[in-house]
Amino acid sequence: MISFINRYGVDAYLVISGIAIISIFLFLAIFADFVSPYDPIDIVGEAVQPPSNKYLMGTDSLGRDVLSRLIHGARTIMGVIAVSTAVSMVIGIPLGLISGYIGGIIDRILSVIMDSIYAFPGLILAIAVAAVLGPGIYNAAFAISVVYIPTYFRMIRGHVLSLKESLFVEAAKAMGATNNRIIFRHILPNTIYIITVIFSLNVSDAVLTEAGLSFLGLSVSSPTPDWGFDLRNGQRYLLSGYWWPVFFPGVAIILLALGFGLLGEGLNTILGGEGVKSR
Amino acid sequence: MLRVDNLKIYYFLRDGVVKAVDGVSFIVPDRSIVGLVGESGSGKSTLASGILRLIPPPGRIVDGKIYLDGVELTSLSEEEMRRIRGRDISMVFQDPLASLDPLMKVGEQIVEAILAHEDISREEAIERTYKLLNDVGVGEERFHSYPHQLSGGQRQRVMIAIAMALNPRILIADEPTTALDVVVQRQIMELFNELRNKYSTSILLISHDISLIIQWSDYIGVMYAGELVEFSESRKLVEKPLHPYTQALIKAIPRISGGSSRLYSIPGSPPDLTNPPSGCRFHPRCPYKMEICESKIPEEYNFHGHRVRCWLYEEGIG
Repeated sequence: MISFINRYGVDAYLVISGIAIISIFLFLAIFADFVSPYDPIDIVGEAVQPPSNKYLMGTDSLGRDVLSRLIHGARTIMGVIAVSTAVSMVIGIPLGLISGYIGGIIDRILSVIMDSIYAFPGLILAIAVAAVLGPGIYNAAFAISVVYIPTYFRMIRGHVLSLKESLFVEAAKAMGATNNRIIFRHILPNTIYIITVIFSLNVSDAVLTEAGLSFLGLSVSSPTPDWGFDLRNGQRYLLSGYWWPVFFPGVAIILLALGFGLLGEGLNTILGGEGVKSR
Repeated sequence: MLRVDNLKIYYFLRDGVVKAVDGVSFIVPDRSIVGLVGESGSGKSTLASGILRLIPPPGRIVDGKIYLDGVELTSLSEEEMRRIRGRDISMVFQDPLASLDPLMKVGEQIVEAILAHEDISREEAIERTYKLLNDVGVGEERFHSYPHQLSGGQRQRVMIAIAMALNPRILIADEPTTALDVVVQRQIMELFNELRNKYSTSILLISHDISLIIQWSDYIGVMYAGELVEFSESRKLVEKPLHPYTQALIKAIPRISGGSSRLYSIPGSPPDLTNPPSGCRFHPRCPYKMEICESKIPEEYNFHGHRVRCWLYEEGIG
């Protein structure tokens, strides 16, 4: 680790702190049942109790424990993001490989479709898709994945375009390698590092999109614990001075997005993927 | 035996047609090393990719035939051609680091080349890879190394092992030693020679370095601006180079015991191939230029297998 820091300086710190933050939330998400003091959907006391020894982050407007909801909310958001990222990758990466490698009319068509999706602001597109599909956690996951497919597509396609011209691909062709072999054995492995960078930058953004969707009521339904949804519920009581039901989930959203953002930015420089842009 | 017959490869660019290879014919006899020499941009590398039908767009083979032991390559389907590549004709490139996949163990890359053509088990392919690595002098213990862990010479040896993996009839070596220092250069050329003798593979050696070509080839072809201006047995060509361009190339070889201290260089620069000179393409730089050279493309004269395209020999060798 010391040599890692010496070699990459600031970027090493970015990566390490990003991983630290993500690990904490990942731990909470996995072991939510063991670490949370109460059941997140049980009414455990009076409504809107300020933070105290009994309720470390207070209780919300229904008298549920804010800390327990925050811990279980990590599980919800991580789950949504895992599903949506997996879908984005499974669709975006193969299409990018095909488009870049084959080129021609297929490339034109796919690029136009992807560019038109990319032209929408992320959250607005997600809202539109989620609104059409109707509220629900799976629909939200799908809506988020639609937003990030073009990022994978465009980055992979661009990379394939240059890899396809590289001498080792030409050498493989001169040895009679089939197109499948060239794409999956030579080109895909050489794009893995770029996928890692896009992944972490996109997830950082996806955290905010997910929170935005559930804030608007387009994702989970009550009483599932979810940070964005809890923000929505708590926001009505904010003017009465009850800050804690809003403050803690809000900080959690920011921290998780920050964690992935730091990791992505650090990796971006270390892996030499300069020019990778998150949405 | 490889026979290239009147091959024409043009690049169709927005501002004109580049005739990179324009009517080239020659043969590569069995068990021989044929050297092709020429300046950068003379079309030698295009010719090499053309034989494998790997010309990148907007380039295209517009005319001519390529025969490999009677099989005509330009009329084969893409899939039939893919089977030829690597198995019957293989290629070694100039830059061995860039020609190897940086993320794959070198042994795996050889195994892959074998399995692309032969229906044998992975274990057998690995066995053969060990043998090949030993044959080319890298050693089987390097199977698990990545390209960046090897020296330039070792990388080129690995490339040669890949190219020899299927015991091809023709090996095209495009500037195989240009990226290497002279000592390694000699070792690599000795390896080629050894492989030729051991496996009866013919080698088409492409280089801009005429002294290298003279030293190692049985036959020599000289390319200028997309045309093959002279072709002959190596010995004849060195004893009596006919084309003024060949004479100039040989004159430009630095000699340790040379009398004159200044190096000879050919005046002028290679022509723009979108708009080549009329008549003989070498005439603007030729010391023996005649009137006819500017207007008419020279015919090819054949003196007992010593072929030359130059008006000086219209009436025979003087």
